[in-house]
Amino acid sequence: MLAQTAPASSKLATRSPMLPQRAKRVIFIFMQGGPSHVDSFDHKPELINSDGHSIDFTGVRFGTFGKQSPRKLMKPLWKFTQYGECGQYVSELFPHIGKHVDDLCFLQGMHTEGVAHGPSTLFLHTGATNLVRPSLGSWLMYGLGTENQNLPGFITLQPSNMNGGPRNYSNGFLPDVYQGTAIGETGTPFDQVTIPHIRPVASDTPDSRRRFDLLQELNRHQIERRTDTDDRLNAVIESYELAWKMQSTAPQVLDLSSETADTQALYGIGEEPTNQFGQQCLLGRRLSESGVRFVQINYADESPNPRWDQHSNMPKHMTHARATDKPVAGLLADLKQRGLLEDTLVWWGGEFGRTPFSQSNDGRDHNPRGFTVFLAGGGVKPGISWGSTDEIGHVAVEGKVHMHDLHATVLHQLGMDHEQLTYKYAGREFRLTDVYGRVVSEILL
Amino acid sequence: DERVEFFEKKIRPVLVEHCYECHAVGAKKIRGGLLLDSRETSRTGGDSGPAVVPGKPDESLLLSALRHDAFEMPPDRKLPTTVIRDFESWIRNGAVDPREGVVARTENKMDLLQDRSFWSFQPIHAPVIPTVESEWPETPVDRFLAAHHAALNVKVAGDASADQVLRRLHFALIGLPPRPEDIRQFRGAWAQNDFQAITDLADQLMLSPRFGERWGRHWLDVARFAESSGGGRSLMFPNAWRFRDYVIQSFNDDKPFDVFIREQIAGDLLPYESADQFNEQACGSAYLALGPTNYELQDKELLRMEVIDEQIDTIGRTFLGLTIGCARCHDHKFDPIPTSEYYALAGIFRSTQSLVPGNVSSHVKTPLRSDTHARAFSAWQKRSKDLNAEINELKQRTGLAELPKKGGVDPTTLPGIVIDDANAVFEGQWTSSSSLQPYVGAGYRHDNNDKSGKRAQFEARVPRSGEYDVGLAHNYQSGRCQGVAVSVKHADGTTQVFVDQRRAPADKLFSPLGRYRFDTDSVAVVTIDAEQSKNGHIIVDAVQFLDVAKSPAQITDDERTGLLARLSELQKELGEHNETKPEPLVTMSVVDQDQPADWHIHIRGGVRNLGPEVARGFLSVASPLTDHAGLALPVEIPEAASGRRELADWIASPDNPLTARVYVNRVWQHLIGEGLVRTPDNFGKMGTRPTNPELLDFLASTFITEDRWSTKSLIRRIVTSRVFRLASDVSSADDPENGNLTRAFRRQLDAEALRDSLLQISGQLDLNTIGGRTISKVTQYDGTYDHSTGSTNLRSVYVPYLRNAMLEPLSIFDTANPNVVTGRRTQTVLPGQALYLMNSPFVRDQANHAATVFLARQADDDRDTISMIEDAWLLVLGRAPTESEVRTMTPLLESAASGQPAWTDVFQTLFGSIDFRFVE
Repeated sequence: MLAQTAPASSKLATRSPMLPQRAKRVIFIFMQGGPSHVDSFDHKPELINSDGHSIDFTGVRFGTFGKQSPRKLMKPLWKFTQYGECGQYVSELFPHIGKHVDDLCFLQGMHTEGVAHGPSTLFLHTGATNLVRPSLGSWLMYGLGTENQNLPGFITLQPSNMNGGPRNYSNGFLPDVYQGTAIGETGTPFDQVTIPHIRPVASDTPDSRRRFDLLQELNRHQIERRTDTDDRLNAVIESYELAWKMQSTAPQVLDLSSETADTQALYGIGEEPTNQFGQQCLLGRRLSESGVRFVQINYADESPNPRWDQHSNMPKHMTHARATDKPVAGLLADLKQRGLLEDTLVWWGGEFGRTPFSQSNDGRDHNPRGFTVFLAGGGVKPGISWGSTDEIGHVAVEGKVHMHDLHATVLHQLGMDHEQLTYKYAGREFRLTDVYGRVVSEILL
Repeated sequence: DERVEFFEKKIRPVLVEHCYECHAVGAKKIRGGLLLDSRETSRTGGDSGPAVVPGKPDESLLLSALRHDAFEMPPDRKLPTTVIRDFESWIRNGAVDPREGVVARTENKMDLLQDRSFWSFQPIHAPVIPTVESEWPETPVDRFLAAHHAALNVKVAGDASADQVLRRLHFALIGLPPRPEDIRQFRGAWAQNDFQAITDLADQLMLSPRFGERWGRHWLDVARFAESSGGGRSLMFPNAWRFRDYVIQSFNDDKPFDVFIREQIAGDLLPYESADQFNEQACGSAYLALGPTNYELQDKELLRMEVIDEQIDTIGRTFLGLTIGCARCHDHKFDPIPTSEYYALAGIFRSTQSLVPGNVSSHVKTPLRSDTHARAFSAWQKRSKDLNAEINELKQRTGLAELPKKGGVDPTTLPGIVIDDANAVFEGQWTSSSSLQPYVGAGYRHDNNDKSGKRAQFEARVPRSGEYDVGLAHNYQSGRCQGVAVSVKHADGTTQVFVDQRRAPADKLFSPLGRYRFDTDSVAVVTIDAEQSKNGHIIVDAVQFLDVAKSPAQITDDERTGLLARLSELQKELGEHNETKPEPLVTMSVVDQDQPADWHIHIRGGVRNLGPEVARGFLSVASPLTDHAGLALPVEIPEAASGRRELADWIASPDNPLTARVYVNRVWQHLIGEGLVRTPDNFGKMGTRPTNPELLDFLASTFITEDRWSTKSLIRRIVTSRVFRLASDVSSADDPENGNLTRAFRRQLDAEALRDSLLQISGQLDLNTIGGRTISKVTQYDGTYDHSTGSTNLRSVYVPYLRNAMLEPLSIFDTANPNVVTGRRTQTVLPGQALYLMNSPFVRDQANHAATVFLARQADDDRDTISMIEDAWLLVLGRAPTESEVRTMTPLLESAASGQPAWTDVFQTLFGSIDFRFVE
């Protein structure tokens, strides 16, 4: 698809990166609620051996804050198998993703801030638990501009209104042009998912074209009769032109029917339970391919206890795994076969992991102190695993990567120094990583 | 020396390699104030205390950090155990360290007198009004500008047209466009005397309730008002509308601004003479509770400090134009606000309760005082009680009593005499339980299938001699005793019966024990004897005596039908009655803590990293000095007070150099387009300097002395000035930012004005709803709020303002970000706005309505297209069309397919046009 570039003066003009750029775009697959690392990618034989043993746990929540209490360890509910040449362990939850481990880079010593979903989800997206900060995607837009003027440069697919809601894709104090565009809401059937107020081409009747021409003619007259020059007035005309182009481009990108049956099948489209998420993943690829800088694919809902949040009934993880495993694997395979994985950074993960000990008999609590995410493509070493949690999978101990570090690394791959990418607001310079963050150079090619 | 050698070999290289990056002079950034590049600084340590205590490994923070105890250093990984052991033995052996001296480093100390010389901290003095040789000035305001222009030798633009000034004044004062009749009237007045026309119209508009709606919205922007918390779980604030209405009313009443300040910061603490005054002030104090708060943060100490920080920072920006929040972790880098003064303020807010603790915490609610409400509520309560009593009685009589789904049956709701197990006498070990429903009272007892020595005895005295049906309440299950021995002592002796507890009781609760005669003068006794019972668990719950003369069996079928009809009537009435429950009148608020106290500095802002305690107080740089120049007057806070009232007084004082300047600048900005200080929320060093400081001080000083903090007087002073009347359509090449104010600013319609204008022009604007709760459905969280369920034609200021569910046109057209103080909105021109104006059903609907109303008015006349175009232009753009505009529109309107659809297109086109979206 032909990308329209912005005039150099525009806030959205493509800007050259500060550092060598290893990735041009990001696809973030957000697993809302906190998938359990000890049941998926973090294989802990010791946890299996000590199933049912008690450990002393210091509370981090209201009511138990700072108090020690015994908790019962619970072994993973699923068997682990080694995959690929790298021999990465993956549980029965993700057999399809397992086939791609040689392309993936697992960060197994992740840790983050916040204990509840709201704070941690905001931290994941904005690097702060409570303050009003711009989202990672907005920082990328601010730093790099957009590659395609016919589409927004930062899109989040079917995001949740809960746990921070729009603040997770908000531009915060950055100029509004950098805000994320939500396409659809959670639970919307995929065929109704669209950019707000973009009408499908089908209704692009002579009528709407005539109305559009009339409006632009009137606007030109209104500018001409002024004696001064005001950029904002020209920007109005330009914004209508862009809107018109967006209106013609977006429906084509959003329409998955031009994809072959094989491609659709790769993502699990047309079969259950993968149909919905498969379509999201395929749209993610199409948007990314069309020059959308940051695409977030959300596996999310509107509950205060979202998706992967199994405080009880851990077996329900299987439902979520079945809905997402094949689509994610399909996306990885598709990106690779199209050569897009080279310069697309894929990130899969939740806002935190889950505890190795049980809660409510067969559930697990939130665990921000140790969990796993994986990256792929975008100049990250394939087929490796970096960092680890302790022997039961509770606390990250080696190769620790804080969420700030992951943010710094993502910016770095896109060609930006997280300490230099600053914005002056309310009298001081702000960064995505605040005063923290370290690029995890060990995992980079 | 071996020990020096040990240091050089084992210690220094590790320090250099792993620590100096952040802890040595020359580091890009020194972390935690700690320098490990000299002996002395290693020993004094950083913000958290001594890093190295010779001979005492356990007191040396350095070692603790290496072990990843107190800190985790280096942050990315733990050093090998052997290295940590080296440090331990080095410290134990006296931490010999040959690194003499301190590496030189510059310190910046604050100097109060020096700091006060910055323009915004200097006292406000009334400047002399310049005399100028020019016809141009209309008011003193103009004379300041004229002098400025003369000094720079710049030329001022001509006046705008009457139509332009009218549209400007309408949007500035009431946020709505002038209607065609307003335009005709104003043109006439302007032709006679332009100054008088503006003065009269300004006064008239300021008397309209629309004025408070417009100016209230400006204040809501800086008060970061919203009706939900916006945190992770964005909790609705169902009573925040009271603050919104309070603000709007305050502007309509022209409440003196100093009073307005006091009510918002300390409204809950101010004296009052009436319930209304109490309520008004309490509603004002909601200001402190409206912030964006992540109430679900689990670290509640952190949450508390986050809320306090938000309050301090918001107050700073709102009233003082200072970013005090920057001093939370370190002395302010640019403005003279030391961390100690941040925590002097924090002490005031720690002495204030803003949070109600919980897993998900909440805000403080204060009941409002209203006799009418109290009366209405007690009348409602009484009616509820009566209805329920009658319904219960009917249910008993018709045998329709239902068992509760949860918990026990209240014995007082049961007919006859009911004695619960709680009032029975038990012998032997019985176990209390409530696991199985139904049961009477709080639970029941069972014998654990152990019969020895267990008895239970129920005693009662009947109110009337006669026959009674006696029953035993128990739940049933397999494994229960099939022959529970129960004896009943009655007027004619004692009878023993056996109850099967594997079967359901006959009337859900009670199994019949038989009909007996009882006298008023002897005690009726029912005894359960476990030892005489069969095997299996025995349940003892309650015993009932039913007067046979009053039992339901006595009513006929006809009577029963009648009673049932009455019952259903009453139930319907109860349902309706419950809908009318007078909701408790509460406002969001804060209250003082029981034991107000000073608080500690938090070192580097760490929640648990407490430094020395500091006395509560305000900012020295903006406080009066003592006689010994260089020291701020000490702050006096009465014992048992938080200091919030004193803080409010300090801010609202005529001597505060910032408050009046910041406020008059805000008002100027809303009227003129840009502030005299372009950064309205930042009057510190990182803010911009005033373009015309004398004018700012003139406005600030007259605002305090002459206007007595009256906003309306201040507005009148500005809009009647000639500067308000300047043309905007003037070349800007010489002074693109218009720093010299030689012309007017062309302004983009803000979100609220845009939406309200559409609704007014379409005839749909609801001007009858003035305040009240507009959230149509109060739910716990705001995320899924559906704006289409409420009234959709409200003025925008009344539309539910939800942090995570903002009404679409408001967010698309850049309404304030309610998470921060927004003194100046960012205004964008984006394709998303274009799409909204081109394609949204809302805009199309308004265009359609506008066309309908417009054509209905034309119905009688057979008017030509051109004069109809002229009318439409007047209605939407407030001016006559140009020739080229008429030429553009005529073909559409004169085509065969004209009429309603064509006029809908015309209106929608006008709504999207530049001259509608901008104000000259």
